[in-house]
Amino acid sequence: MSTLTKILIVLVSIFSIFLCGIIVVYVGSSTNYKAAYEQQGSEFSAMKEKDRKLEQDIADKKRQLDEFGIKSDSEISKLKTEKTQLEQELKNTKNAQLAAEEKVASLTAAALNFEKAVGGMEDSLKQTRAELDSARTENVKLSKNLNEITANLEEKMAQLASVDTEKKRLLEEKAKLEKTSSGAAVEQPVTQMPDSATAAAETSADVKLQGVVTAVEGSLTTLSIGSADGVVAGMIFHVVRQDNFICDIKITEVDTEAAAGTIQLLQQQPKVGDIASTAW
Amino acid sequence: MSELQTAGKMKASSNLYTALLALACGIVLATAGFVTYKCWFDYGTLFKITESIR
Repeated sequence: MSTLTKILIVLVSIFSIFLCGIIVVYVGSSTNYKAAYEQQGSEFSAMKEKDRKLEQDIADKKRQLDEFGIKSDSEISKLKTEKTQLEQELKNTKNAQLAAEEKVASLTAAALNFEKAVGGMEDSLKQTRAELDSARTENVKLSKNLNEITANLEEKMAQLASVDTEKKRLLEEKAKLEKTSSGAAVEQPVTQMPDSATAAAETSADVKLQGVVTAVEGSLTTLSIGSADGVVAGMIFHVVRQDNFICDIKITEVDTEAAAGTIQLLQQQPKVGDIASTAW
Repeated sequence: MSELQTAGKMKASSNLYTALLALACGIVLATAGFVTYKCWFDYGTLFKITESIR
């Protein structure tokens, strides 16, 4: 074997070992493109399926969106109509509010005027009451004066009656003296001379006066006795019925034969025929 | 004619270089087997690397 052959054998062996090593390393570390392709294909299919589902979802969403849009349009138109109605109602309400405010203002003014009028009426009422009180006081004074004048008048009338009686008696005595002087029999005077002038009827409340209830009208009661019996205004009569106290009557109006008064201390309603007296 | 030929039968002139050649051949065969194994189990074929699966 020649040397060249030996060298060639060694080189072939080394080259074949080196080349085979490279091939083994390359093939061992190479990527499995088939598996990668299949994986990509499966991923592609999954993505495609997903895309189909998403398209279907998009179509559904689009359909729902269209339905929602239609529904929203109808609701919007309905809300616009309601808004228009509410605006109209708001205008009407504002107008009504303005009218009510005007009415309230007019009523307030009327109330203020009424209050002023009431105040004026109260003032006039107070004034009238004061005048009434003064008139009542004046009335009481006048009644007192009238009673005094009546008493004086009755006293004067009694004195006049006694004077008339004295005159008659003197005339009779004169006639008697004339007869005596002419020799005729002495006659007794017809008219008796009173010892003194008859005093006027006492009107004091100490004298017991007794009458009968003749009429009852509300709180006004009429008695059967009057100023001729000594009744004066302000007297208080006690009305009784079979020993039962009925009420008191304060005399306010006095006539000659009757008197009227108001009921006080009412226990029972007085009736015609009840006895009224100033003392118990 | 050489001494080897005259002996009547084939005889290696050097066992060392014969062993080297055998080693080289074995390595080449092992490499081919490995490549064949990889191609067959990865792609299902020996020569068609790309094949449409559709």
